[in-house]
Amino acid sequence: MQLSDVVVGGIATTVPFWPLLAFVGLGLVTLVHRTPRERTVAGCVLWSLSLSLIGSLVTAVFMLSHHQDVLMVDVGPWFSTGSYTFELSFLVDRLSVTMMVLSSAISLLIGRFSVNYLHREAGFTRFFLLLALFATGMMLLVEAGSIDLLFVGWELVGLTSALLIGFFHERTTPVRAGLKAFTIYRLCDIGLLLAVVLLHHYAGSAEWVEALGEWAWPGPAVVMGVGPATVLGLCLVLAAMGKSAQLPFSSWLPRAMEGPTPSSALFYGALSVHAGLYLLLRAEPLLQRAPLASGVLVAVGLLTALHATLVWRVQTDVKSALAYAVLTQVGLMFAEVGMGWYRLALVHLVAHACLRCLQLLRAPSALREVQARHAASQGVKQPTVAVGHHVLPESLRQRFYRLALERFALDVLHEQWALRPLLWIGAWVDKAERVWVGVVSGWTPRSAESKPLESGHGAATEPSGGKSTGAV
Amino acid sequence: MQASVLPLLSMMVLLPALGAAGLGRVLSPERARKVAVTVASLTLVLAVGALALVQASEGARAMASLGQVLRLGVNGMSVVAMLLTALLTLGLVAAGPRQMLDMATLRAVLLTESAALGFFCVQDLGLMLVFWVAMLLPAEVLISRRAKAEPEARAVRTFRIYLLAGSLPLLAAVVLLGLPGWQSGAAAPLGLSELLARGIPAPRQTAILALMMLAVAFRMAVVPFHSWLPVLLARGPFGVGMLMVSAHTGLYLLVRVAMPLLPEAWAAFSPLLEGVGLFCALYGAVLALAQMDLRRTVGFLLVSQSGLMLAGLAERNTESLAGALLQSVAAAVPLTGLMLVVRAIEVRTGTADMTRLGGLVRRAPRMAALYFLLGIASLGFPGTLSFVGEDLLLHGILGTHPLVALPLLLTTAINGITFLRSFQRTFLGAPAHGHASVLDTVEDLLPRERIAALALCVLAFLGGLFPGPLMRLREHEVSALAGPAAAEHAEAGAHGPAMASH
Repeated sequence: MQLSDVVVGGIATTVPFWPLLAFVGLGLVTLVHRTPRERTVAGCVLWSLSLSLIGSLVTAVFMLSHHQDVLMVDVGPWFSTGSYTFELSFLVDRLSVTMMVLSSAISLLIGRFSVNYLHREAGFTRFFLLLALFATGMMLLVEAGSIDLLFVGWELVGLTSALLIGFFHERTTPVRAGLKAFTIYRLCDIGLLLAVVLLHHYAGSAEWVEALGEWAWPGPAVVMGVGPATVLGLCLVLAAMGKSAQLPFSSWLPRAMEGPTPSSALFYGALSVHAGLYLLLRAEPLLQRAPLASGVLVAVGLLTALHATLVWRVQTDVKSALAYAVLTQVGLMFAEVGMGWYRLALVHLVAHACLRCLQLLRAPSALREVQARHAASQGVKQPTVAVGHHVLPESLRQRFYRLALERFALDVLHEQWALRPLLWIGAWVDKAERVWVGVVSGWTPRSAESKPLESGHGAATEPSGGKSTGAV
Repeated sequence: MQASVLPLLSMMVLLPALGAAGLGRVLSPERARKVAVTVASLTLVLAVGALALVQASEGARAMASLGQVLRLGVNGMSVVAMLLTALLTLGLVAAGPRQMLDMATLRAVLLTESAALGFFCVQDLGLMLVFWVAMLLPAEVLISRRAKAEPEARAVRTFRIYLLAGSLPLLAAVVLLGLPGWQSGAAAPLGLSELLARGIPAPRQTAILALMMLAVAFRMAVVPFHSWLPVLLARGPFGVGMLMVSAHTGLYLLVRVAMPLLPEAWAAFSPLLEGVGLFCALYGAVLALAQMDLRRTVGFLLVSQSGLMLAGLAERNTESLAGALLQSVAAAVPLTGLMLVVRAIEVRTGTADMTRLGGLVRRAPRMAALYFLLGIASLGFPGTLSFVGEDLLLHGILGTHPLVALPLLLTTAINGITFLRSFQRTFLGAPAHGHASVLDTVEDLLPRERIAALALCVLAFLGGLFPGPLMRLREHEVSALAGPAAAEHAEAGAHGPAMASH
């Protein structure tokens, strides 16, 4: 059967939209009518994921058999004004086709696994809705023909990730962990947004092909000044560091393991955590032109790997240990990208995603496996893997041990240097505002504090306990 | 076509006012609510009629006059503002909690709507001033009546000081604008088209623009002049404050009068305005993050959005103008929905304080879902109208000077965090300590509330997926305003696409 470019382009375009269709349909039914049965939900989502896997496979086979390296699909403008147009376009090349197949295959497998894992869980429908939305976001991210469209997918992935971390919403810890991840995503997205606009500014277009040159991946360095390329590269590195939990921002990853195991495997074992890496691989012609950004990548990657391998050794639960193991490998991949070994990084990525996903899925039965292994070895002492640290002097070892136990106190650092000053400023200004409003209107809440505040508004009336309703 | 515009527009302006007057004859509150909903829906239908009229005359203006002074007209810009006002009023009246919508409040909401619609129709600056002040009066009367009864409502007196005082500069500006016309005895000294034809001498422009900006800053709640908004939303009567800020009369005055009439002064002021706008956006974002009261959070989010719009207008290129105008719709629709949900929570639990809420999703999953969707729709999430608006704003502002937009980016980031935090504290987790008994009796949204919130939500998402029609409605105004500046911008940007096409 002969397939033309146009047909394959159409098939590749549909890949992100099948899960979206499932999400919108199921979501509307749930919101307006009632929650559908488990079987319906799982069936719809799995079918849509299968369709996108088939689409990815057809595209991949076509590209392989026709020895075609780049396939551009232009869907049309989304909106435009003046000289600016937001183009919907997809770019399928060696890099994105690899990621398409990987993402759709893993999403489908995890979806199938979750049908049993989450059976009769209260949030079954919610999980599958978010899974479909995530698949859409991830496919848009890897297939995007322009950095604008990539941002759309990037945000979808970030939001679904935060929501799935807080999946067990009755407890406070998962909810907080979700907020923490979302906060770091949001702050690092500033880098991506800056990069979006700067790419328009410097290269005149946000299309990957037009901005970076139409080459088979990995292409040669981009034609651009070193200065702009460095600025752009650093912005992208910041975005990737947030998404892939690199060093100053790595504290959210182990906390993110509060979510249900299949979603941990999907997001932090396989796909979401590698999205930052994908961004860097995609923008590889820029990085080649920006030695400073590449240097930063190597430094950040190696430091993260070192940090994670130290902390990994003292974790007491399997999912945290796996989270740090993920960080070690992703750190190494960052360093590989910084060194310019792009193909190696891609191979490393695919291999790591598959392996880690499997490990995380098996994490709930880890204890049983260890016991089985112990029973099988019948008391023979097992070879130990942690040998490196015996070389270190005793004092240094103790210091590292302490630091690792505290996970290098990254949480405290974030709190102290970023969150608390911001909230403090906000609270202080807010107080000043209240005083000002009090002065202007001649009425302060304090004078009415002794009386119940909400008496005028019906329902439950409880005294506010000496605390102003708005005070932080 | 020309003949039909006059009855349509005057009916649209008069209908809510007549409805408000008619409410006096209705005795039962239930009937009053029904009358108000009917009136608001009919007004919306008339506004849609005005839209059809503008579409039929292909984006050009439709205008009719009754004597020299009372001229009414619509163009793309004002028809969107009218539709938005009518839609939000309907939403507020139909889905507001019953105990907050007593007769007096309903009347105030309808009168405010009528004044706002009048403001958007008239073509004469003097009448615009009249409607500008008339928009404040219903709320003012209501508040001063309440303040006698309830001590806590006294805080809302800020409103009087801010907004009534804030209208005086506009009065002065109008007098300054009209003076030459009166002296020379022109037929319509304050007609907009006459003023445009006459032009304003450059030395005068600065003073006039400064006065006008002051009035607009009060109305848009731009930072040093914003304190009335959070207070009004938290403690004031239901709906009026939301309508007043969401109708975007300030923005309309800038786009319709200040920018075309005073171009030189605007160009001189724009760096200052952009700075103020960006500062306001960031300030609103940080304060919203620090709030514990959901109503005040929404209030500061509105302040932050006002700042973004002002910055977009100040930049004055095609993208930023289109972005600012789009953002005025994109923020108003979901934030009004959000406010409706917040008020629904308030009447069910007796508080809108996040520290006393929590875990509401168990009893009210639909409320949680709608709050979430409306929230992400107001904060620039991809696929929603505000994403398009913020994207355009970002390109417009960053395109000229890349580093200026850092506050803009921080604002969007912080607003996202604020929203998710408020969602989690209100709906997820365990109920606040000591409040579990109240929170466990919460009822989910009633059908009428659900339909209203869902409709606003659907509008925000549909608009985000297909923003083309909405943008085309105001394309004419955008290109006319960006005209002088866009020419050089196109010159500067010309090498970009050329290079890309190689």
